[in-house]
Amino acid sequence: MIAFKDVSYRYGEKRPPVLERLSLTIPDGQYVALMGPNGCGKTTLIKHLNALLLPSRGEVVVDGMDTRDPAGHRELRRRVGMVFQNPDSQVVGMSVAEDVAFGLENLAVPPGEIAARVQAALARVGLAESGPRAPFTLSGGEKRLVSLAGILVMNPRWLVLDEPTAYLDARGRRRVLEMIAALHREGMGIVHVTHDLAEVAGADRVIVLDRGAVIMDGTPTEACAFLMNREDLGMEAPGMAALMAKLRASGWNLPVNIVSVEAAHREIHACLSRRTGSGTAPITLPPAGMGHGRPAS
Amino acid sequence: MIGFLSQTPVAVRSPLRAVDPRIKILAVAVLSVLIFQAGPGEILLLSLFLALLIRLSGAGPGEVAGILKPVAAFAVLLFLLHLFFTPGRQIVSLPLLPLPMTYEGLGRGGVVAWQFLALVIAGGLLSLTTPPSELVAGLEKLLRPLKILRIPTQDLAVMVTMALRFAPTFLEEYQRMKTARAARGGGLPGEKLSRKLKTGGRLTISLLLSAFRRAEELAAAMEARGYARGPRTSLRELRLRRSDYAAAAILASFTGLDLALKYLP
Repeated sequence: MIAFKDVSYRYGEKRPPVLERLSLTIPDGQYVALMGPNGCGKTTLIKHLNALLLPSRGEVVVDGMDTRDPAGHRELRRRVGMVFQNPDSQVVGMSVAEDVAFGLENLAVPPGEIAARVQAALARVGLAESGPRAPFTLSGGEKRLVSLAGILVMNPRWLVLDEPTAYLDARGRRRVLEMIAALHREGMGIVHVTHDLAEVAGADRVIVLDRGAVIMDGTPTEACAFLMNREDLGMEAPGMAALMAKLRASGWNLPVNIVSVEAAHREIHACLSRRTGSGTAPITLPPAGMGHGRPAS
Repeated sequence: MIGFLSQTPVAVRSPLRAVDPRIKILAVAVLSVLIFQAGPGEILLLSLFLALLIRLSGAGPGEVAGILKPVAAFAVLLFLLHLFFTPGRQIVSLPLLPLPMTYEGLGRGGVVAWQFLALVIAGGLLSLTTPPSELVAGLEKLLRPLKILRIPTQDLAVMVTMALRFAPTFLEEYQRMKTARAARGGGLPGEKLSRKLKTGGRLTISLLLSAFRRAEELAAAMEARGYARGPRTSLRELRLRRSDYAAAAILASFTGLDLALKYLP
């Protein structure tokens, strides 16, 4: 379990706090999406999870370990794997295999075991043949997967990802998201920082931060409803939710808090079945070029 | 540079490729001393030994030319400087050239140019037959005794690795900045030198700032993966094999022969 207890953090005595008396608990194995406008404290928060930052006030406890205890940092960094936003600044090895081995080398794992675990981690992310390649020959998506392999090889209990799909094309994005979903199914706790609610539709929980404090904590559907009413945050609800709002404004009896394509498909299908069954008039689509639909109040 | 950093040595299955990087680094160090000390007598012996090493490296004429091409002009310059500026017996007097060519200059220039090219070949063969990661691992092992003097050899090896790892990244970044500058009308033909210098300075500052930002991100990423002072292991544990001892014995024998040729009457 991860627990933030009344945590405040500031990057200097005279600077304003980035996290302000923040308290939250994440149970084992939960998939948590962390959202919020730029500068709201998301990255600062996740850096507290493996003691890259220590709270100015309050405490952070991960699996019973207080992050302020330096004696536990090595174990903490094994348990909480962190994938940073820019893989170019994270891949440290001269070859893919060496990069994946870096964490194990730091944990002083015997060389024979390192080689076997590196190969298994690379196979896990679909890059089994890429061990000897130089990092600069990899595509953006491959670099991200190498970063992920470098964390998975340490057998973490928690995976923390800072905007893992940034700079990726559609295929790379899909690959990374599928990998995260698979790891969650296996029981790994996930903390996923993102600006896009649609990519965390499968999360157990969404936390929205603003100015260092939690302003929303609920399911993806609840987060969708919240974001649709909080344009002032500078964040957008998923495109699916906007489409549902447009259809609803045109007379379709549809919910608006829809995050994923699958859920939208299900709801539209159910609506059409209801209409066909009741013999109501054919549905008219909203005219093209209509502005962003919002739920009718 | 990029070719060297791509981790794929040219000679993948050559006998020299299989030799432990420590032996190869030591060999380059020993050969450098022998080359610098070489008189006319040893030049032939060392040239034959280098030719043998080229053969054992599996490098073709193209690869050897690739090693020498970037430094050829400098070797010629070294030769000409010695040819014209070494006092001695004049070979020929050219009416338009006030500087005399001398027999001593010809000999000295030849030796210096050979020394320079021989050194480049020795170093080039090392990089042709050794991936950079092995090179760093070998260097780290060789420096390990310095730990007694509290010199952090592992940290030094990591620093060298980072420098090599990020060289292509910075090269890419520099190209991106240059392209961005060109897209806004900079660097066009006929640009004044003062403007070129000014823009060059700006590019350098941007690159430096970017390097500092990356260094900060990198430090955080390394720390997050447990990098700290303390015991570490390595994916590549170097172990000397029989063939490595044989290579070391050949190097020692050759060194003995060269020194005997030089110092024995």
